[in-house]
Amino acid sequence: MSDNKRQSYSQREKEKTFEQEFLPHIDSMYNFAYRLTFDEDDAKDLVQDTYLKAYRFIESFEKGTNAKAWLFRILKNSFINDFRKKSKQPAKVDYQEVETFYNSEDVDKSITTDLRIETVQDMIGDEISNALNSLDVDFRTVIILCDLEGFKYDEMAKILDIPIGTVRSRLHRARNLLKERLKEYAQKMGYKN
Amino acid sequence: MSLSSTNSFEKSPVEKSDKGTPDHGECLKVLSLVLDQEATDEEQAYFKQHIENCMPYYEIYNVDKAIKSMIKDRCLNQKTPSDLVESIKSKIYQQAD
Repeated sequence: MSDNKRQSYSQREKEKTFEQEFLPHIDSMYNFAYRLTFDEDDAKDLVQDTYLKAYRFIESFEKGTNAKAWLFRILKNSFINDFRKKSKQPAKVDYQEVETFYNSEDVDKSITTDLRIETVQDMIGDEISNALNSLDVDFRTVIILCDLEGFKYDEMAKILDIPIGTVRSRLHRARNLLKERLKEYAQKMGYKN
Repeated sequence: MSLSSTNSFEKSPVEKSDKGTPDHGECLKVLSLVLDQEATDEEQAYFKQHIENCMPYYEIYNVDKAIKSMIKDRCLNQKTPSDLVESIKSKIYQQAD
């Protein structure tokens, strides 16, 4: 937030920006918070905390830029600084991910994937949702930002404070892991493939 | 295990496809770009040409696309608590007073 030029807002502009540009994203914010914390009260606190910070630091919000991405960045930082610390969960992303991105083993693995489109289409919502929830938080986050919320790679890079190359590699690995989980569900459901 | 440098990652896939042999590695990189609507026109054309002759990639693309679309349709279901907006507003206006 500190890298933006400070903007000047009158009290009326502050309230207008807050009501018209920030609050409309509350459903997406709550969904994101819930999928990070898996707890309704924690999700509520996280969203509330994010909005209070957004209002307090509104001068850092550049008018005309993407408010949703700005809010998601604050929420993600609050989660890391406050919630993750509380639960003492270490980050689980393998930091070799950029170096091993699309190596030959990965390519072969993707080509031989036996998850079929018919199998995916037969799955009900719970299976997709459970598979997503089972991913480590860093992998889960990129899928939520990209597939659920439709952020572009450059916006995700800003929200997560990582290079675009890392966004792409993390997304690639997250999708492979998700497919592995879906394949496990498919096998439990009795599909041969 | 071979290491892919970020430089080769940035290379245009079209350069490599000129050899006339399908390059699955390059295609895999472009697949995500096409899926996420981040591909350039050139990359999209390359990908379209590749999957026309490559059944495994055609299937992977369609599976990935189906999963992406199902995530969007079925994972946005957490209902925001009805009192959350009011609670936020009251805290903010309380602070502002």
